[in-house]
Amino acid sequence: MANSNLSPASIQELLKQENEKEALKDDTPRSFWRIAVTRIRRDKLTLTAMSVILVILLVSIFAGPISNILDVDPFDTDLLAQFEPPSAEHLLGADDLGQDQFARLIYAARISLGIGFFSAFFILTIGIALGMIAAFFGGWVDDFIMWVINTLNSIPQLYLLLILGALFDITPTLLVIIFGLTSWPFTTRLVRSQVYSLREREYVLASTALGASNFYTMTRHILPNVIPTVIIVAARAVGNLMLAEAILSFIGFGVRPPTPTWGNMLTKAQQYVFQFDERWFLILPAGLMITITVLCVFIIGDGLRDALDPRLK
Amino acid sequence: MTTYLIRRIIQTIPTLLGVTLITFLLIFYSPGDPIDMFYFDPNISAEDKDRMRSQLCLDRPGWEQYLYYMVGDRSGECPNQGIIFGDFGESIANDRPVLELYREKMWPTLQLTLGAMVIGTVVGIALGIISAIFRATLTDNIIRFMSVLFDAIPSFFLGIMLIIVFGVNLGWFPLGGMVPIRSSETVNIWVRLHHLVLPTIVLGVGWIAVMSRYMRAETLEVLGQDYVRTAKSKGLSGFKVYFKHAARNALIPIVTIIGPAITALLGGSVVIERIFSWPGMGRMVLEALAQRDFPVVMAVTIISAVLVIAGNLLADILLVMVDPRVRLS
Repeated sequence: MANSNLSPASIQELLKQENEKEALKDDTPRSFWRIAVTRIRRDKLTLTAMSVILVILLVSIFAGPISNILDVDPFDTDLLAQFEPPSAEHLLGADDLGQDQFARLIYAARISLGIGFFSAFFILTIGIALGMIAAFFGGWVDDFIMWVINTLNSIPQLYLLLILGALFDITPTLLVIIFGLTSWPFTTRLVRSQVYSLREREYVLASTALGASNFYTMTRHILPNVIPTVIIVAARAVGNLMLAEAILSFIGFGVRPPTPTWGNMLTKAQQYVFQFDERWFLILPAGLMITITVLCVFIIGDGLRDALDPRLK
Repeated sequence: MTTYLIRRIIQTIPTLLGVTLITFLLIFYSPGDPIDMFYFDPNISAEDKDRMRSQLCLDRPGWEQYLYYMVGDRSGECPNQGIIFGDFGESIANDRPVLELYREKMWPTLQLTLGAMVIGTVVGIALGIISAIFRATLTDNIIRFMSVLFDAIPSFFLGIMLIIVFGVNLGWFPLGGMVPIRSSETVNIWVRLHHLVLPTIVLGVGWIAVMSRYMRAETLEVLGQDYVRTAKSKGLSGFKVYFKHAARNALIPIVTIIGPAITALLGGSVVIERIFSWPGMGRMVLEALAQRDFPVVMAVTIISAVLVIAGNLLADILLVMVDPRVRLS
């Protein structure tokens, strides 16, 4: 493709590719994963995004000790501190109940990240399992799974989540389960189509010819080849689920206070639009945290895609 | 083509049934009794409540209720005429037919989503082509970064920030609503458009992001092909090569995202209507959910699903019409 289009940009691209080939040339044979790691090491944007996520992750894990050192608590209300601007005592000020915004922000990180990662894990498990089952058994099993997928895909997901959010008293754990049970169709469909196309490859034929059972071929030869695609989807899913959590909690149908999440910390933000100069600390930090975290997750996803499957770039 | 069309339409029937079934089951097995929830009045006796239940057929077994909801009750004992005959029941909170409410709230949402779709498609396609032309340059990187960024900003946060900057501080645009609250001001098309600007932008931004990414990939695919080189070597201007010759073929696969687009815009409008106090369907759903007004919630969900299914169908038909390769396979 690059040869037919010799603009300066494409020449640059070509040179870059040559450099990469040069850099990847080594005497020792390398596995697919080693090559991917080498590519990521060279990708500064992805590395930056990874470090940011790592910092947020560490802060959220140590939210307890950190707030102890600062002598604040995310749940303590103090009406004397109501709407207090940022100070040494309350690093990011206090909200309408006098709750410390900094402590709530770092505890919320735990919930937002947790919901994103655990539900993505849940979705991948269901997605891979059902996708492989559909492609493996075919026939009416496949038809049934596809019917469920088409049905779930037709209902705008937010509506489904809103109904469930209104019906149940949402806790973070329940939200992970709900996300898992409603968001798997995309992954399933992807895995299913991948398995269908991989099944036609020669090495699968070879494995069958050598007398391997279907199950063995599926788990040993096909599954490892599905994993890269699934990882790319997973990264995107983590970000999208964190956004979904934020939106649900913001509207009031997700995780409810006093449990802090970045979404429900912004529920009252709209009341403060006229007092932005005095109450900016109740709007900006939580909103920026969601944006930065999701942005980094998406960047990591794109980086992984480029590293694992350069054809998609 | 006709066979394909008929087959494709028949295929939507199980999906439609699935949608109504899921929606019905969710509401049917939801905790809490609608009658108890609506009439807290202690003066209403248990017998009265039972009578209400039997009048609304809420005491029947689940499968019977589902049947009545779908096709109505011919014996006339239950109030439902069946949704396939266009009866979605009455709103519990408003005592009005759900469909009537829906029709009222549909136009504001339609304005919003159509506006967002137009902005998203035009700007997104243009940015995608530009990004592909300047592949791996600063322009491309900036466009790609912006597209990821606008995916990552939650729409409600973007909306609130735009309200603060352009509504409160600069005073350029109204803070919300479809028309001014004060009745003394005249309402003409400009006033309406003025109110549309901010919500449409917030709803459209995500769409721009998706569209530009998609268009970039498709254009890159096309740019490597021989006919584009021929066009270039004929001495055509860059604009003509990229925006006329290349874009035409790159646009073909774009029709497949009509279905997902409807899903995304309907979902997005719920949040945006809330922030901008836009009197549309999204706000109606939120109010209905808060009041446990289930007929409204079910109707909106099912009608939205029908729209999505219709969008997917339309996309498939368009694709077959514009791309002969699809017809052959």
